[in-house]
Amino acid sequence: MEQSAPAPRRLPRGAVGRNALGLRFALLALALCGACALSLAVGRGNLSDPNLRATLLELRSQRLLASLLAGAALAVAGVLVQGLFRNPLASPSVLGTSAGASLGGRLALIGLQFVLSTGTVPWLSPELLLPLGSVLGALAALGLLLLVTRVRDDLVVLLLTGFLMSSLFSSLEGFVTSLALERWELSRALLGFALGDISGAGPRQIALATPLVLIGSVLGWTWARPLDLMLSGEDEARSLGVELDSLRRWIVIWTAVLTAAAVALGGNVGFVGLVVPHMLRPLFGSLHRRLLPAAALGGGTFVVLCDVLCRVAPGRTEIPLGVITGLIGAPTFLWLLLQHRRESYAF
Amino acid sequence: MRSKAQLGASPATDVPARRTTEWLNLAAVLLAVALSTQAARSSAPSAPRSAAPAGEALPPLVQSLPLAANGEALSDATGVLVPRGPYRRIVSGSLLADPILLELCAPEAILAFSARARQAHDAQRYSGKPSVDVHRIEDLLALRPDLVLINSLGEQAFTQKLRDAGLVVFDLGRMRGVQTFLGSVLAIGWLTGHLDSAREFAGHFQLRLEAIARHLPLAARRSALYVGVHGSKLYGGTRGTSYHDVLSYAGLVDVAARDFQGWPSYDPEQLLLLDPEIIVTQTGGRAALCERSELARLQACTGRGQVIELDSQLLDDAGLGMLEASELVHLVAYPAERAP
Repeated sequence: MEQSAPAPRRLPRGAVGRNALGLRFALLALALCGACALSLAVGRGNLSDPNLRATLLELRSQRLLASLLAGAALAVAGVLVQGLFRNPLASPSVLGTSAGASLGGRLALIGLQFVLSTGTVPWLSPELLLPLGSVLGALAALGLLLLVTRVRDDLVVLLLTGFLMSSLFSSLEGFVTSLALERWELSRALLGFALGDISGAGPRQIALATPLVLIGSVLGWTWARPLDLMLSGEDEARSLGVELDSLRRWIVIWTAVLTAAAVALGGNVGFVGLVVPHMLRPLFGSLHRRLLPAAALGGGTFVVLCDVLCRVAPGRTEIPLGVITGLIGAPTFLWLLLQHRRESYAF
Repeated sequence: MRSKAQLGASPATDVPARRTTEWLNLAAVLLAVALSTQAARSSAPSAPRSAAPAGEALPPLVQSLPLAANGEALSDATGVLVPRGPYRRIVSGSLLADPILLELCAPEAILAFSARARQAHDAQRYSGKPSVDVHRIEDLLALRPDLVLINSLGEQAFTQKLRDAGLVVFDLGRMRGVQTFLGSVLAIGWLTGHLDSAREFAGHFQLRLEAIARHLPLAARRSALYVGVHGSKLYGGTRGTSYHDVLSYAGLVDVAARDFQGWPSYDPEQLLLLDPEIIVTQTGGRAALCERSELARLQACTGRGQVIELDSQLLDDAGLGMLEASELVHLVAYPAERAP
């Protein structure tokens, strides 16, 4: 009796085979290792100088760590909000927590002038005021957001509230900046913060951000399965046991924590949370349990490479990181959009 | 649409499991915040770091004109104590410090000037040495300086990073005009072991400034205003800035000083209300200002007053350039006093 050959298993669209996935993860990890090596090797200083080698490597490793953390945080936050809203155009900034962190950072910069002139916070290192301000700003924005969701728990309301809060905080940022215009030194510092710059991040800022990024990423990943179920729609997810209010609350919280850490490290570094998930989705599929770790690796790689570009770009002064991520991110995003113009973006 | 199996669907999770998830997340948030706070607290107090034992801090720079050299170290703008030299490998990261170093130190003790030295109005003075941007830390380290002079202007993290890299950094602080410049002269003189020369230089600078319009009685002084025109925006510089000092030492009365301080931005209405006889602005500012229909009626734009244009590099100099700027403004504002 003739036995028909088994029909090849056809994977649903968007799904990736296990072997291919493993290979892609390995390649991504390899790319990250390469980026890290490049970040340590490339710079304006000469590593062959035995007197300077240790110091140069220490400085570069600080920048490397800060870039890794900021990139991973923003990319993971991007995947989380895109999954929550089931909208590929969502970025961590839609919740308003980025704007809150940015406002907190600016207020901290103004407070820093006061602290320096009066010496009122002797127990706190001055360079920590800015990252702490960013974290507190993001948490305050988060508090407002959670307050609104308690009144009305709905995705559209959440999205609109985030948008309104972003606008409100941006206006307040503008107000704070306008106050600072009368003080040239301060407005210069505010401008530097707005441009996004990781070059000043030292061990204290990294120590502050590391727990937030690590715990935020891991706990964000624990929500991967409910987010995967959300891909089929809210009703389907609810029928499969997903508690939507709990999911929304915790995704919002972890996104806020991650963006707070990223802003605390490097100010406003744009496009990472939007572009990196888009770059990775064709390679790793839309399932969050795979996409989230890939985003952590990919986001870190992207920002580390952008930071290397900042350092080696010719010029009298260093180009801010936010400028480079924007210059690379926007065309890349456009290219990705054109590549996939015929495909549905409904995950 | 994906299959439920592929999405990893499972029967609805039970209530205890959900509670566990909630508690787990809550605990994780608290843990993350606690660890971050701990990191912040443990990294705090920082006794002033210096390469040598800390000594007695001298008075704040802005009040340090009668500088007493009885301490072992000098407190910089961030409160960090920096020991006295001799320093033999000095790098200036400050446009303010460039001319001071040139004046006080032997050329071989200066490794590099600030990155902006090449754009300065007197750039040719610095042509013999390289210029370095202190933000390029690796370039800076490669020079192996034993003293780095900067005006950090609030970039605390960056200054700390330079110190963490093992550099002796003296932050000159704000650049607010004559007082801060004189403070910087004395501080650099003290640090480099040239305090007497610094006192002489500062005194000479001050004397020359004061001599410009000393003879002008207050009633004869003309009203003036500094306005920087950038696109449609009008920016000022008054009390507490070098622009105010330039106007004052040139023998002019800064009309903005009563109501403003620092670097205010003006709207046309405010400018019309202030309406000074003289407006000091950067090259090209006259056309940008007076060709605006709403501002054409300003005294300075009509025959009753004048707009004095200066090279922006000179006008923006909060250091030695203030002397030259004051002299130039005075000469144009009071042409009758020109020597025959």
